[in-house]
Amino acid sequence: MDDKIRIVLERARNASYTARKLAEKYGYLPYMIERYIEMLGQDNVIDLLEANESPLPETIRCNDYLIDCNELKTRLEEKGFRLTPIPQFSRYGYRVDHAPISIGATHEYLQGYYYVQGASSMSIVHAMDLPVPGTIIDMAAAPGGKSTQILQMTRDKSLLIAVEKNPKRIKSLRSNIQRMRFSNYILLRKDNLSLDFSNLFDSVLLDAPSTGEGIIRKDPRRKKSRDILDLIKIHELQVKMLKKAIEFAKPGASIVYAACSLAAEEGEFVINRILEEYPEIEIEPHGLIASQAITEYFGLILDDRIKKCGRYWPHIHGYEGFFVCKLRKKK
Amino acid sequence: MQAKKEKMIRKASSLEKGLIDEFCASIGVEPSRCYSRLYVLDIRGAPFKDVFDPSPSVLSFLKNRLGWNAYSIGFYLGILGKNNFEPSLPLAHKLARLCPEKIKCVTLNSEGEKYFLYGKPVFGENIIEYNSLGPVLVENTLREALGWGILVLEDNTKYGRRLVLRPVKDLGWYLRKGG
Repeated sequence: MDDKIRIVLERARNASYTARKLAEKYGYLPYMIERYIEMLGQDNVIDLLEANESPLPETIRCNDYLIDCNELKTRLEEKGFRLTPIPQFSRYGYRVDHAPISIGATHEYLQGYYYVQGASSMSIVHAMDLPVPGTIIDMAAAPGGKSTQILQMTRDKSLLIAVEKNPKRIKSLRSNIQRMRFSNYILLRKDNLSLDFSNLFDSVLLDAPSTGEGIIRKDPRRKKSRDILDLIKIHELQVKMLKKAIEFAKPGASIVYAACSLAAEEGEFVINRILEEYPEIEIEPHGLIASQAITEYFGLILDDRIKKCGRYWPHIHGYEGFFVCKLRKKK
Repeated sequence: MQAKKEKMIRKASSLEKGLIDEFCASIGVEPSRCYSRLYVLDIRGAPFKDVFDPSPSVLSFLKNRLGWNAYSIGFYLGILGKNNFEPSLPLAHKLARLCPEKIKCVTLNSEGEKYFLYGKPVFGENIIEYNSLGPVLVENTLREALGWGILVLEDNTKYGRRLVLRPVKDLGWYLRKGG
């Protein structure tokens, strides 16, 4: 295990009285709260925990490959929906303020005119380089929000390789790509660690499997479902996958790493390990509205370049928690 | 119903091409309107095969990097059974613009659209126009594809002779079975 992670998690395991009380009040494991206090300070932690108690606002991404987004908005509003654009996340994004029926059950949805997708999630693809034509890989693609967005933004003209190893989840991925009427893709049901694609892709997306600490509002079970050992395992997996992503990228290509989590162990610490091992990797500004990533945590100082990475906080940005970082493999 | 296991992709045989061409003829369109290239995903032991129309870039990657092995590729045309071809929903979208002049099709009103998308039969009062009986592309009044159906004239003791559209595949599939 990485020494830094071991030190951090030992400190988090010894949760303070305050952390234990807050954990009891809000129903979390104490080590999680201890980490949030370390990142945010005590006052802001309450804001985060309160934000996590309110439902996640529903958002959609208009598929302008098939329909003008103003027309989609009008059609849905005629059916009683109320939509507000969220251009700070994506020029295709809308928050659903009122829904007379499930937003995932309209005829417009079946036509492929939109995708029900978190606001932070849909912003991630905007951090990517999307060359047209080009060859792009989405390494953990199901259920297909970001894959369909890549195909949308490249107008189905760049080849997308979408990888998913879970047999059930790849069915959703296939269904969503077909529903949204894209065709320039190959789906692989594989473990991405088993693939041999050296220096092949013009752009790489790794939205890594995570603890899901960023979507506690959607799934409150995540307040207690992952212990420290799970976090260590996930961190190690994320590092392995990001190394693979770097292998897949052509020299000069960018790699966007994202994780739907608030855990520094799944964000900043993953990037820190990569920067320690790969002198050919540099970090670039992601261009999103996300807050600056942290570089100091439980007394440990991380690589200063990590400041260029970003974090979405539920209590600051209003939607899912996410970590995002744009890396480039030097030529 | 599509491939459950990752299997080899190959060019369609002349027999398989014949089944697809037969389907295209049954809806009144030239095969060249339906597809450019025909590739089949074999699934060992399964009674069906997935059929695709992949782009040159998909084919090139598949050949050079994947040894013809993938889960799904490019434009999805439908499912080949032993003696039949079941068209896909993407194919319905692709051909929708040909309705009503160049393809056998039926147009439903909004009530008919609701029934159809629930996978239910649609009766004459909700059928606005049609140009043929038999296999048809199904559309709404905005000329948006809703799927595939079979249009028949049925004798009914209560209603007499009436038009009935029986769904073959409708967009509601994405919610019911799409995963």
